[in-house]
Amino acid sequence: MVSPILLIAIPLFMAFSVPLWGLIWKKLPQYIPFATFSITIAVLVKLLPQLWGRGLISVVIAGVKPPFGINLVFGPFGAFFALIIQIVALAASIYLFEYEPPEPAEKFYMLFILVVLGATGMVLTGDIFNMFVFLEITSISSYALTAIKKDGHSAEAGFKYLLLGSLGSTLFLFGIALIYGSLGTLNMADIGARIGDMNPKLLAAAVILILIGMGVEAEMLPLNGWVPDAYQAAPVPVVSIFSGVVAKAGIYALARILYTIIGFESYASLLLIFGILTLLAGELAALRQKDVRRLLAYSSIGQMGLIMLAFGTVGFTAAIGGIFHAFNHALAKALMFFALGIMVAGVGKWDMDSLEGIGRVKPYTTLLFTIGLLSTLGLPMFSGFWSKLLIIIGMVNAKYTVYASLALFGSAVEVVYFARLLGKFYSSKISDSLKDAIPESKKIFSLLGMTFIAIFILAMGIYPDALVKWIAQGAYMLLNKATYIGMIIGGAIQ
Amino acid sequence: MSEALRTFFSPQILGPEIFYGSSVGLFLIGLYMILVKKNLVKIVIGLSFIESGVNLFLISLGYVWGKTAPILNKPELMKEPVKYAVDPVPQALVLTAIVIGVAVTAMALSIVIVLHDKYGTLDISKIKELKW
Repeated sequence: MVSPILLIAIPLFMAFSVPLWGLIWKKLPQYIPFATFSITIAVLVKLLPQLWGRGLISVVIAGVKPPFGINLVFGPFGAFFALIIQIVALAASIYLFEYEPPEPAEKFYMLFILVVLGATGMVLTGDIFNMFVFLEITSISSYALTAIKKDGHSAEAGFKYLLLGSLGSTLFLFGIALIYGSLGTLNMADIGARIGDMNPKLLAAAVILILIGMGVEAEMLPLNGWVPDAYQAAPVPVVSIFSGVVAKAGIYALARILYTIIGFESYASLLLIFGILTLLAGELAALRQKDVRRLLAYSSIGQMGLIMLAFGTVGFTAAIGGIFHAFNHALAKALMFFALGIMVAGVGKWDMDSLEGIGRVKPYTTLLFTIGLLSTLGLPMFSGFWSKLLIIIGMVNAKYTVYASLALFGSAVEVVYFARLLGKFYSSKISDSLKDAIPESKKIFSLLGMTFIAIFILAMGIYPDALVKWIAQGAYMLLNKATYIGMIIGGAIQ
Repeated sequence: MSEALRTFFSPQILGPEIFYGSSVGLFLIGLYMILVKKNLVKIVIGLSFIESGVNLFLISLGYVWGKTAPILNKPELMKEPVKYAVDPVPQALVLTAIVIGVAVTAMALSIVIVLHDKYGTLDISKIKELKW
């Protein structure tokens, strides 16, 4: 019997054994992330069919049943986010084959696996304090990875991220303390069942503290000052992990806590308002960026705002759209950052003007970048179209027309800056700085991995039903708090 | 403890509110240091203050007046732990939180060392190269 614990245990073992593998062969650590995430994806593939007909798998750890012990919950919603995380991590670890990491290389690979491990733990845990611990594993490794280049810029970005991140997670712990003080339990299902007994004022304080804590990771508006700097300073594979793994785990935790733990209806408007502010601020700030990394960072903030809006709507269609968009955004942004990393190889400059005409120098990479970009924009025939459509339909159905039109305005702004970017990339004038560009044929493995992502994006654009059918289960479990609680506390499933 | 001290530290005079109040106080001191101080090391100390505030809050949540630590080393404790010992869960949580806090502080200080090497100063207003 394959257990969900393996999804956490295997990366944990592999992460800390990286230096040992290095003793056998100096180049071996480079392939450890790939090996790790291949195994975890195999475990996921083996586990997923078991969800059909069972609803969710709750694994009791150390023999004490919930609500007293710690449990892992492998349900449709969490499993889907675990899948997103593992796919992006696998793609990034293929990119690592041809990537020269900053020294010390072994620690880089170790931290790389630990970030993914923490995020996987966050989406699988059924215990709120456990979620805090996994959050800290993710974020401490992220701080280290941001600052790993050891130059002034990255140290500064790392310090910014550390300050905001650790402040946020301490506030999250404060929120947990308030809940524990009132209800005397840490199990999410148990808290969810008894949240009505809590003093409403204390509950409001706890919700705000938790919202702030998770908002840092989910790139929510007033707390996302670290995002552009960290995206600019961190190495390329790490950036793809930030947008595809860390931010996704943050938004999962927000949705899980707001929907399952807190009777969400009274706080829905909070997520709507922050979502629309995040969306508009991200898209408008992206307009005046010259550095492509900063531009993509602000675009990432905008997309996270859209996902927050989807979860704030509290409706079935919008929830499906939100989960689907999280998936699309993770893949598309990872693809764009990998492509950007290959484009810049040998050029060394990241601003738009130095990359002018790259489409003629590295045509295939630019094509892959364009596929990711068009999916983010939500062009029909790309998977991003369906998720944006579902979110907008869900919002209009729930009578949030103003928010829907503002979200569409944000998408229109996105078209402006992405069109300008593509115009530069495919310009007939070729910039001087491109003359020592390393040819793309040197990066066969990365291009192969990226091609798979691109094919997946196109396939989902043409036939989204395959995925949506499955996401609908996750959305159903997310919206039906009672089912989740009943399955864990009722003890029907072990 | 003398009798006078014992009365002074009794729940009638010093209830749990004083612990809650002082943990929030620690928290606010830390927040003030992070927001106002210009020295990087002082900002890191502020971060530690915030963590200590939350840890104190958690511990005082689980504390019950007159009971002892939840270490089952005496026969009467083994027989009826609920009667003699305080809630062990917050203590376990704080133990974890302290370890995490140490990791964060170590990480922060190592970044501060890199920053000091590169810029030769600890003043945050002189370091800002990136836009906030």
